[in-house]
Formats: sequence, structure tokens, C-alpha cells
Amino acid sequence: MSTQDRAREEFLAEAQENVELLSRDLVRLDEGRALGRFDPEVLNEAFRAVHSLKGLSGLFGMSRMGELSHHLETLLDGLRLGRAALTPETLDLLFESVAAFHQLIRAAASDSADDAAGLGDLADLAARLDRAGTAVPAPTEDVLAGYAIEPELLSVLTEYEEHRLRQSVTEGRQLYLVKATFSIESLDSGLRDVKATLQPLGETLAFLPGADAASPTDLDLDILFASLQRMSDITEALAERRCRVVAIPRVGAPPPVKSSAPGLRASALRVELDAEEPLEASLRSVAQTVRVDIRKLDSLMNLVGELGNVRAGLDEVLDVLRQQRTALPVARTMHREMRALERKLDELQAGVLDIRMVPLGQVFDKLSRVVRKLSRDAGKEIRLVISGGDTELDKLIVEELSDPLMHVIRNAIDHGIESPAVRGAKAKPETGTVTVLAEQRGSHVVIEISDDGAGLDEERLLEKAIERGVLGAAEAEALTSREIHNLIFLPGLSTKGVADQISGRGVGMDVVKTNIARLSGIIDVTSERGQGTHFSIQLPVTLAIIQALVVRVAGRTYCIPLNSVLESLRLGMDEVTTLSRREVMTLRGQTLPLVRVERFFELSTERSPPRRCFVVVVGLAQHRLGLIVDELIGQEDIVVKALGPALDGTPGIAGATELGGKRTVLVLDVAAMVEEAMATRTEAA
Amino acid sequence: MSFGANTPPFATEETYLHATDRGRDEALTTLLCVNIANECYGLPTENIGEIIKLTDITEVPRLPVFVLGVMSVRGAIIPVVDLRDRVGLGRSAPGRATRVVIVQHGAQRFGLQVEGVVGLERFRASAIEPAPAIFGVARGGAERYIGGLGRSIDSPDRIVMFLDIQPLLDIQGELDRHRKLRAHPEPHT
Repeated sequence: MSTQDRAREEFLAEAQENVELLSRDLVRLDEGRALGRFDPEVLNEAFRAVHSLKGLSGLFGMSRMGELSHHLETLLDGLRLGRAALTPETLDLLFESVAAFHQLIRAAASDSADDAAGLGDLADLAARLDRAGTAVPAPTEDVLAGYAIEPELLSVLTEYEEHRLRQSVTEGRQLYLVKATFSIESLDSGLRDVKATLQPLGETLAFLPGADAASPTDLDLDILFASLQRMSDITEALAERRCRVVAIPRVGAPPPVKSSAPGLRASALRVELDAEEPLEASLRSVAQTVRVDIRKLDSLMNLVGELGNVRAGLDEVLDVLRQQRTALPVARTMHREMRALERKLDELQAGVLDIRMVPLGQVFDKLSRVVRKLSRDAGKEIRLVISGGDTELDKLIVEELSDPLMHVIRNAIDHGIESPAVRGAKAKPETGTVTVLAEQRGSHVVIEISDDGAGLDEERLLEKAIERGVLGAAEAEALTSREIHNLIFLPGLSTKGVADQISGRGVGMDVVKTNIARLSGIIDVTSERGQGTHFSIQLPVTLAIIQALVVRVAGRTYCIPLNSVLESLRLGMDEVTTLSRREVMTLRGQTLPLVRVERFFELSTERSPPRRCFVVVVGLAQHRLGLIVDELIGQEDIVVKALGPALDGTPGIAGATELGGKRTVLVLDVAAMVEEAMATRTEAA
Repeated sequence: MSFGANTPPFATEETYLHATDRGRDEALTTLLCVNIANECYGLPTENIGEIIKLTDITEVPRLPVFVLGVMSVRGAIIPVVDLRDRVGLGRSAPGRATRVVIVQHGAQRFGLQVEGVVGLERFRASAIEPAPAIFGVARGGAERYIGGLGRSIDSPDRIVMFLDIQPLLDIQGELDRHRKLRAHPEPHT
């Protein structure tokens, strides 16, 4: 990769980050607005993100992105200075800009003009941004007239500070001057302490130079502070600092508090000294992070895996040593050292894995944006409840997860939640609720998506399935409710008759299933008519190192990824029965189709089939399948390596791995095996 | 006495050979000669990475039979092809002389299992003849892999068959043929 390419990739990644930051801030603003709360700091953060974007675009000659950032920045600046009002319409416009940014970034990444083709109305968007930014709210009388504020003080305030000052007064907060004295040596930490102390009490509006300090090693600052708290409380909070609190006296009657602006909750406010000065610093990374190409982590992971092999080799040496009496003391020492090595290797592996982990919140933020838009488009009122956004998953999985999740949610909004009128008639609350919940359970992450909508229409599903020839009428009779619900994962079985925005695109739940399966995940659905639908997606935490079940079949060793193994059990051959030429067994009252691995792979063998063997029950998406193997050897952590382009797509094989003793062992591709087994079943039927 | 700036101080084997060839003013091709079924085959040297002794090969199911499986070479998984089987002479039995020649082909490395390595031999370009058509009949299409015949300067009594790497390692193409056969065993039904 050339330096230019790398720089470009860096740019795209950083632009993406800033757009995502902006989008998160907008979501927070939107939530705050709904609750009648407004956090000026969130607006500042959004402004800074856009400002960084503008700088970046300029640096890399992305003129259209620069142009858009400029207009957006102007609007956001207007908002933070109170020149424009944060109305729902303005928020829509802001969200629209985020979408435009995403498109621009995609176009830049793919270097194609096609992606940018849909951006013809960029100028129109810019014009609308400008209009929103100049929509001056009705001029208000000078609220500051009610305060005895010295004119010199007002004259040094920046426009933003003055706006926040007016806003604070409008909202009925008392103004104070905190006269603080700091030692010059510890000015930074002292200021930080005072800021932190003041933060929960109100909003710090400005830092002003104070009177000349009494001592040459001291510095006096006046802090202009607005708060709903009484002076005594503030004085008390600052008791340990060298501060004096002075209330700025009101002249005449206090101005009436506007009822339309509910009092700001003090705790919702954050104060930051450098709110006004990020302009120069914005090109520097904000966080203490390093951006790393995930392929580098992959090769690091490979190395860790190989170290594991070296360790296994050493284990064998240790075994040899143990056989020899004279070497016993050495063997003991070596054993101790090996234990230490093992522990460190585990830590190393955990460390590398940890680097790959990102919180699911990244995807969830996008979801709230989509819900906002879709619910409005569909004319439904929907509340999105999200929890577990801090649950972490492998970066690669999180990337791949956003489309399937989005689709499930769209489905819930379009087909699940009823219109407010219908809900009203059913004595349900008019606002529908979609809940997204994520949590880690062992080496898996489970994401549950529920809605309180109409639930799945079993009759329609069956009707469709029979119409499409997926099911025979007799077969349909025998299905349990759960099996009927799982029909939605079959291609072409959308429950809504009319082609809408989604079905028009030809995307169905079968795609969701396939995508989840590709991540070695399982998706399941349950539904209650009239009560709602519940999807459960189970995913492995990482794909880089996986746990595998080692099995023997016809003298060969294979690994089965443990994340798709549900259970394994002993099987007597007399438990196997044949149903339309297919072997099945009954497991806890359910029929489980069986596949003999040696037949599946057409393995040549001289041994006669063993009388007793094992069944490894694997699950993929909503399918269950029993793999018949000769022996279970145990569990291992493995690094799966691709077979390479020449053997790519070898049916049923996901890759290979090295087990101890440098043995190369194949890893089964459970998804492909299930798929093939299911395909042969339909053929046979 | 002093040597000229361009003259090496001692005559190495290289300069000696070069000197003897110069008179004929002819291009030479060097091939790695390997033994398969007591015949000699030549492999182009430019793609050869290394030659290793046979280690465990893991069988990969459902591949064309000439692919023995995969082996691990310093952490990388590479497919191994039985050269004997590939040129239509039946599966080879591993012995003491068996070696795996690692070649780079396109984006991937392959192992070619041979029954012995003879060594590097040089051929005069003018002495290379096209492969006789008889191979097509006798070997079930093996002529696709044989680009020509020749006698090396080093051991002129032996005929060496020149192998073409490209068709030899077209496993995907072979797999596709397999799959088509599998999917439509009898096209008219």
C-alpha cells in the first residue's frame, strides 16, 4: 500500500469516526429535546466534530465534504449561539447531513462516481442548512437588564459565553462570581478541581481575569457561574478551595421564568474550560488511541496460535523427560516454567483478543437513527429501548452485524408494531416499544430484539409456505408453533402482501439468517399473537480464536467449532431410524436429522462401522443437525487458517488448524454441512 | 601482473561454463529435474521456493484425487499435489526419496510431491522439441501438462519432459468440472 493510500485510508477512518461522533451527539440532543432537557456541551461536541471534518476535508482535498461541513458548521454554530432554534425540523436536517456524509465517505472509499450520483441535491441540502441557521428566533427583551453586571465584564465575553449567560438568566438561574485564587504552579490542577466541584451545581459560563493577586506566585480568576443552588451551598462546596463566592445582585424584580424552557437539571450540565478553543487542537486526535489495520491483529493472532503449538511441542519434550529417572529434577523445573509460559500465553492471547473488541453501542447508535426515521415514515410512534450497548464483540462481527440488526428492527417497525389507531382499539399504549438488549453469556453475546406489536400471523405464514411449495399441506399440519414462526427465515416468505420499501429491495429474513450464520451465530424467533415478536441472536465473542471440539471419524481427526455445537451424546446404532431414506434419531421427543461425517465426505475406510458412536448436535440459525462421529477427543482453542484460494470453497471445510505435535487438522464448516444436508432433504422430499 | 577491473580473480564454475557456452552464443534454460515413475520431468525454477522432506499430509475430502491434501509449512497451510497422479501415472507411494517441491503459483503456494529430486540441469533452447501427440492417447490428456522434451547438457542420454505449471495446478478448474458432474450427472434427465 502506498503512503498516499494509507493516508487516504487514515482520512476515511477519521472522517468516519467524526461523523459517527456527530451522529451520536445528535441522537443525544434529540433524546434531550424529547425530555425537555438541553445540554449545551453536546452541541459543542457536535460542533467540534464537524469542525474537525471540515479541517480534514480541506487537508485531503475533499471539496464536497468540506463544503457540506462548512454549511453544517455554520448551522451548528448558530445553534450554540442561540441564533437558531433546535427544532425537530432542524434535527431532521442535521440527521440528513449525517446520511449525506456517510454517502460521501462511501463514495470516496470506493473511488466511484456512482455512489456519489445520488448526491446531486447536495447544494439543496446546503441551502436548507443555511436557511435553518439564519432562522432567527424572535428577539427577546434584554434579560440582562435585570442584573447589575459590570459593562467591562460583558465586553470581554465571547458571543457564545454571552449567549449562555442570557440563556441562564432566561431560565431563571442566579448568577454568581466565584473569585478564585490559584497558585501559578498548580494552576492547571487547581482549575480542574474547581471545575469538577462546580460542575454538578450549575454551568460555568466564563473564566475572567481577576484583580491582581496579592502574592506574585498566585493568580486570581473570576468564574462567572449560573446556578439554581443557593449561595451558601456553593460556598460550602468550595470550602476547601481558595474561593469566595459573590452573587451578582438583581436589579428590581426577577424576570419571569419562561415556562417553555423547563429548568435545566443541574446534573445534566457539563462544563469544559476549553469549549471555545478546540479550533487549533482539533486536528490532533482527541483520544489516546491508535488506529490499527485489523489484518495486523490477525497476523499477531496467528503468531499467538503458533506459540501455542511450540508450547505443545515443549509439552511432549517434558513427557519424554519424565520417563527418564535421572532427568526428573529437570522435568520438575521445566514443568514449573511451562506453567508460567502457559499463563503468559493465555494473557497474551486475551490481550490480543481484547484489542479487537469494540462495544455494540456503535451499532446501536445507528439503530436509533433508523428507528427515528422509519417510525416517522410509517406514521407510527415508537420508543426504542436499548440496553447493553457496552457489551463488547469482535470488530469484524460488529461490522457485519449492523445490516441484519437493522433489518430485524425495520421488520418490527413495518410489520410488527401496529398503527396508533389499531393499537388504541386493542387497548395497547399508542406508542409501540422496540427493545434491544445485549449481554454476554460466557463466550457468547446474546442480542434480544422484542417488539410489542401484532406478532406473527401463523396462518398466513403457513399459507405462503404451502403456496410457495416449501411445505406440503399434510406436513404443515404437523408443525409446532415454533416451527411455523421459523418459516419466516425461508426465502420469499415475507408476511406482508404489498411490496413496500423493504420487500421491494428483495431483502428478506432469509438474508438476515444467512448473515448471522456467516458469523457462526444462531437466530431464533418466538412470537405471541397480539403480544409481539421476539428475536434472539446468539453470536460468538470472536472469530479469531475459537474453541473447537476435536473428533475422530474413520481414522481422521477433525475440529468442529464449539460455537455451533449444542451438545454431544453417545449413540447406539439401534437408536437410529430411517425416514424417507434419511437417518434420524429422536432426541427429547424431537426428530433430529443425522449425517454420517464419513459418508458426507466420502471417506474411504477399512473398518466396519462401529456399533456405538457419538452424535454431535450442531445448530445453525434455526436448523439442528446431528453429526455422527466415531470418537470425541476433547476441546482445544484453535486459530482457523484458510485453505487458500486454490481450495477455497471446498464443501464442508472451513479451514485448517495446527493441533499440538504439528498435526494439521481440518475444521468443519458446519454452516455448509447443514445447508447441504437440508438441500438433499428437500430434494428427497 | 594485474587483472582487469571486470575480470574475476579466479575462474569459478560459472565463468567457466559461460566461457564454454559463449562460442555457441545460445540461450540456456535451467530446470529442476525430478523423478516420477523412473522418468525425468523438468520444472521451471523461477517459482520454486524450497524442497522439503515429506511430512504428514492431511487428507482433504471431496477434492480431485491428485490433490493429496494439505500440509503445514512454517505456519502456512498449503495444498499438496501428487505429481505422478497428476500426469496420469497413478498414485505414488511415499518412499525415502520422496520430496515436496514448494512452488509459488499466482497468489498461492503449492507443494508438488515427487518421487525424487535429480537436480538442476541446463538445456539448450534449440534442443527442445515439442511433445509428441502420442501422449494424448497414452496418458489420458497428460499432454496438457507437458510443454516439450529435451536432453540436458549435463546428462545428454536422458530425455526430460518439461512440465507446464499453469494447467498442472488449476485445482479450481478441476473442482468446477467435478461440481458440474456432481450436480448434473445425467444432463438429459
